[in-house]
Amino acid sequence: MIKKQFPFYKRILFKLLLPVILVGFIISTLLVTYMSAPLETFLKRQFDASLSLSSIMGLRICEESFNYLLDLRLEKNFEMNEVMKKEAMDNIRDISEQFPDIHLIVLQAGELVKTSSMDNSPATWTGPLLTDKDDTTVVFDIGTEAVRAHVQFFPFWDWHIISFVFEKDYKAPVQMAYAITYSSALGVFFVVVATLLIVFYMFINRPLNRLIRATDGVTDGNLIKIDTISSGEFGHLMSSFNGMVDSLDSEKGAVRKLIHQLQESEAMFRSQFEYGNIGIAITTIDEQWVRANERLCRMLGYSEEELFTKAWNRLVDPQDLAAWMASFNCMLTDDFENYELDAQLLHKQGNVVFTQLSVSCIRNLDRSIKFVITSVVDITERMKAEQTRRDTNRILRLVLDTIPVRVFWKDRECQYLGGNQAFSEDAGLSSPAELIGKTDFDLAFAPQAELFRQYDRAVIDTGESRFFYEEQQNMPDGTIRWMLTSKVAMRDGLHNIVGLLGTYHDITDQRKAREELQKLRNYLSNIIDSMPSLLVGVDREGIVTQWNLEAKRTTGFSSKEAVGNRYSL
Amino acid sequence: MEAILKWVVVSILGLFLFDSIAHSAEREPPILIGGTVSLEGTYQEPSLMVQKAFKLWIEEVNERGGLLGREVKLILYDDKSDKELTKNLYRKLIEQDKVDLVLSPTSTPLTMSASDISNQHKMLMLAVATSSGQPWQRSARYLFQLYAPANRQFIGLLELMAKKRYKTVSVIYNDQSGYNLDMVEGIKEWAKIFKIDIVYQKGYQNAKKELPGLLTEVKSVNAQGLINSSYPLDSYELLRLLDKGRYRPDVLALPIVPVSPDFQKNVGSIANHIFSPSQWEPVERIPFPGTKKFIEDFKKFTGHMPTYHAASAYAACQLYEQAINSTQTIDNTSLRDYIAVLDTATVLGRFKVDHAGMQVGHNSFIIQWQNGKKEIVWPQKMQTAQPVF
Repeated sequence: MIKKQFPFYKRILFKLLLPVILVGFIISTLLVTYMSAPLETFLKRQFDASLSLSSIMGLRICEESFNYLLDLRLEKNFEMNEVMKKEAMDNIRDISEQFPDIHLIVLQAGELVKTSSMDNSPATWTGPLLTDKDDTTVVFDIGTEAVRAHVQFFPFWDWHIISFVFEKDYKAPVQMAYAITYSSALGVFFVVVATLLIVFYMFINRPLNRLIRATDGVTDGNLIKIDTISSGEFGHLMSSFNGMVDSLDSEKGAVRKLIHQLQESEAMFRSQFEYGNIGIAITTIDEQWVRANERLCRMLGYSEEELFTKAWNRLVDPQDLAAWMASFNCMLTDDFENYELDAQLLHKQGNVVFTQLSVSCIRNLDRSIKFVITSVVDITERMKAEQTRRDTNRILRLVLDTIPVRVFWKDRECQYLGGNQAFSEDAGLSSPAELIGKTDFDLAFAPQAELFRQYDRAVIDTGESRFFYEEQQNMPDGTIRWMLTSKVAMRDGLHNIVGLLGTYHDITDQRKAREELQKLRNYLSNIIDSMPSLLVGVDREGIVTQWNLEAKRTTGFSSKEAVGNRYSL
Repeated sequence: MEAILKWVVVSILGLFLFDSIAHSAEREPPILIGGTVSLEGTYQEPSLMVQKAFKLWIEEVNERGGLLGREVKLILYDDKSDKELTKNLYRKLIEQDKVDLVLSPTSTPLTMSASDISNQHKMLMLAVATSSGQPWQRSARYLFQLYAPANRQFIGLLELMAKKRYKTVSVIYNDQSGYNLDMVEGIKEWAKIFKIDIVYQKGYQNAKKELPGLLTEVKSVNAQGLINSSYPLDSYELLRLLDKGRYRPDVLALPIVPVSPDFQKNVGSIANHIFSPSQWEPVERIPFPGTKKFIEDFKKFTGHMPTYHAASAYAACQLYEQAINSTQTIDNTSLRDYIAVLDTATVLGRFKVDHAGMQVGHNSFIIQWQNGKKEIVWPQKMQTAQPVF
């Protein structure tokens, strides 16, 4: 049977309040006990003082009367005495009006009641004998009632002036004081307890309750923050709780996100695994198959079941097995996370499948390898294409190296990407491979490098080709030769300029011949012009080809005007 | 310059004034006041106080311009506490010295002697130190009492004893003086009123010889109180015997000697709690006109606090002055008539006499020595301390 447990805050309250109540009660009782006695004593003393004062006042009245009689020398005068006695009695009676609950009575010779402030006072004293009492407090009974009295004796008239109070009146303030003390103590005590309860409820119970509810909510999975924050330590606790909720919420979000990502990842992986064009094998460290996707199976021509019966090393071409083992062992021992290598795998039908393997591992927390994941990409076609490309390149290289034209190509920064053999030799290098990365400044024609750079930049920056322009170029042997150069912008598949392609051939000899021819022409021209006779040359169509100075002088047409036009006489 | 001129003028005026006064004084002879004081003997102690008071008043009255524009001169003789000598001296004062006024000697016996002469010569005498009614049992038309009568002086003490429920008292007294006899009568009367039994009562004449035996008897009856009515020498002897015999009743009362401010100094610790009647005390509670000034002047004049003897003597002088100033004469009969109906207040208190000349306006009170200090313990309205029994 489950024992019913009170809520936490109620138990706290009980555990806290009960000792407080007990201690408070004990202290109250002690206070009352030790305060009541002095209070009672004080009140009694006050009352006794009033009793004493009232009786002394009565005595004073008598003394004054006596002195008055003495002053008048009438102390033996009977009438005068009676008058003074009566006046004294009236004054004594009036004293009781000034002292609540106190009565005064005057006795003659200890017996006869001369006057009394009480109504219906007996004529004869029924109290105890007071013959030896003077200026003392006595307790006795009047009838059935106990009284507390103060007695003064006035010998001249043989009077006893008694001021007294009934016990019940005497004790009334004491009892009231007790009652007040107890009530006050209890009242204070209850107020303290009530205050404690309220304070506890307001500042401990309620916030604690909120905290507990919120915590319970968290336990149930509801990450709800506490909306009202108290002050003080609880406020701090609540803030921390809210912070914790935020943190949990954030983590939950992160977890959700992670899960989502994992799910996505898993979906992607599954998609890739199931439907990708990469073969994936998941094995254990001792090469036990865990999973293999369809692609891998098709790649190698096995069904999954057949594949699972094969060990990896049986699938790898023996000539690649050593490399594969070495890499695998490195991953095991050297704590690599992955490696890649190209390996030839054996198809079911015996042919080789060129593959690119990416091997990675999933480790346990202790860094031991749990799974090995091998991604297998069939690169057979690529290999073939590579081979074809290599072949093509080789032919192209042959062509480039064979033609007499120098060919070179650069990137956008005017660094050489390549060139043909002839160009390499013009540059002072032994092979086109040495060109790569160099600039004109690094080669034999460095003196012209700046000019070359300008032309290169013009082509690269504008995209406008420059064809068949003549330029000089230093040769490795120090000579300078003339070249006829063409440069075009080199573009990629997206038509972006990625560099330039340049060609040139040596026209030094041609240029020389041209210059010679020109010289000859100039010589001839001079001769013709210097001839004193008119000289006109025409071709078969009658177009003027030659017109000397004399012709000009004669006709007025300049050479420019005549040459090229039909000659008509 | 102006200040100097003013001083010169004032001085000249002052000189003129002085000259006129001197001349006016010179015109009339001084008023002679005569009396005797007991510079030795039984009454020496109170009499010395009386003498000082007389001298103080003389000085003061002359400072005020004298009486009737005349300087007042004092003639005092030493009566040595002797009755016969006193009588002779007053005769001399009146007949030979031709004094205008007489002051009384100290004590009832001496006053009786002196007043015999003064009455014969119809000269006013104010009895400065007489409590007894004896002098007025004969015809003493020109004699007036200042003190409260002796037979009323112990009323207060007996009342205090009655309040304390004391029931018995012993009374011893020097029976040579009417003062003591009157006192004893008063004690008897009031003890009866207050229901106190006088269990032992005896008179004596020679204190030195008789007191030891009396005290043995007193001791044997062991009354709660002991009252000795006598003059200072007897009282000192009694106290010496009590101290020696280590006997002390609850209540011990003596007249005259305990009122001296030097009483404790004179007798030692036995002074503590001794009661005494007193006509007057130099305390602020005394409400009579001129009392405070008198106390200050007396102390300045003599270096001592005054007793009631001094106050009484000074009061007598005040009455003379008042009478003379009122009647504008030094005729003793006129002065006597004036005094006889006078109801006034002096430094001593109220002065009012009956037809015989005995004091009826002034009452005494009871003092008690407490811890080296003289306290008034009765009547209650004059109390400076509660009585200690």
